[in-house]
Amino acid sequence: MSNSFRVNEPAAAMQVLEGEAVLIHFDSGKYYAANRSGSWLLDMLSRGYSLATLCERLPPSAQADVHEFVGLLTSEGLLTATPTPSLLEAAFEPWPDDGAPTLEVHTDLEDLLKLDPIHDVEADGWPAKAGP
Amino acid sequence: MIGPNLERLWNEMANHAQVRHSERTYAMGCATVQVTVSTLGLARWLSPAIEHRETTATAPDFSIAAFECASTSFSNEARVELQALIQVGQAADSRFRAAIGAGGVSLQIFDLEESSGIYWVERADLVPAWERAAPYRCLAAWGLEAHGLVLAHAAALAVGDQAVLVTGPSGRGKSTIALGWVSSGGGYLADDFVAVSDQAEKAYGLFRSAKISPAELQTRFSRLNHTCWGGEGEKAILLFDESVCRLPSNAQLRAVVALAAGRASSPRLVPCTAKTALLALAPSSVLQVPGVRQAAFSRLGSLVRRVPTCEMTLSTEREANVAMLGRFLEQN
Repeated sequence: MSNSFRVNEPAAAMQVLEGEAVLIHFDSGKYYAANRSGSWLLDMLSRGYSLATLCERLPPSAQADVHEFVGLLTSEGLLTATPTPSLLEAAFEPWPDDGAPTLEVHTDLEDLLKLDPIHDVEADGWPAKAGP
Repeated sequence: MIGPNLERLWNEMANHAQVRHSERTYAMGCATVQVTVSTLGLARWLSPAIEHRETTATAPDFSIAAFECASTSFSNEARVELQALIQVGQAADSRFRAAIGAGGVSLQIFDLEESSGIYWVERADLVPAWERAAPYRCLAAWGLEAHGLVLAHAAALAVGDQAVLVTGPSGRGKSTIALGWVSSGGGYLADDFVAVSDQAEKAYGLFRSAKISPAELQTRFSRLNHTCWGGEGEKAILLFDESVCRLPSNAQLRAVVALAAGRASSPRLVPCTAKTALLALAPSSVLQVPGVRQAAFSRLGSLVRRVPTCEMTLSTEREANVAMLGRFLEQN
């Protein structure tokens, strides 16, 4: 697994509010909420900390969960590996340790992109209303 | 050479949009927009929901031209070519913003350099009901972007110059509580789409329309029957004027209220985290306006950081829900 990651903009975006992350993937229409551990991890990665650096500062019991979480975020298209680590903001917050990082996945708006009267055009041309 | 093609097609559309039946200026959010419409038939569908905001102001901040094929010689070849234009125009940093209505019957495109937009529909009678209720929705969002406003998928209800933003997924009860609010004499900014400013912490009413199922209109809001302006399928469109309710142009936001799932015997309104409010407010807002999604998500995030956030579980008693929101606004 790569070592450094960033939020996969512009396909996805993240907001961290009072230590809790909300993410959205604009192409799939899925949106997400991370628990505090997951939000911490996302926040630290987006500040430029590498996964290896973060794992060094975590309890050994958390490291497998963290790797699994990053794998999930990557497979959902929310994180992308970045070749050059760049420490954007050095502030390091303590690990909140509210259990393994988890991600709430919301899929109720996926159809909005297919059915809503206004949406992006698809690569194959004029969009059509989805069939029944 | 996509760039010159984009410009050529934009110019071609702009030429066709020169046909003018009417020209009006409207206050829209904190900006003004000049709207020209090519035919009476088109004006009949696109103007009523915004005509309460007509103004005599000059020097509009942006402009919109609406036209359809019947009144011009806009070619089918050019329409097909527009696919490429729109695909390129999706990039948020490009000159253009664009969106196509379902089935390709309508198109909205905005030139950021010129601050002007075009609404095109194949025939006036094909303007879908949702676009009659909220005409030029994407164009408004793109034009207002430069003024720091973002389109929110929410109801906005006012007492005096104070308002609450009520948000939640479709079907959660936004329109029902908005119509209950109107029925009890409250001020109305929106039942579905409203412009908001995170910096000013304000909501701006754009459309005087509301949507409700015909059955609910008959059984629960029959006193609003006379405001019905037709509709399509499952939704009746209502059009309000000052004889029905106060239609403030804007109001200071006192809270973002996320509607919770389920019903209770009595309504419950409790503080919630900004995360809960953003989950309720942002996804359906930003997914419905292409081209500004990143910026809109960021602004809505900023809004829920600045404004108190609450979660409301509605009661089956409509009046109790409205009364609770009213008390909340009076006390805050």
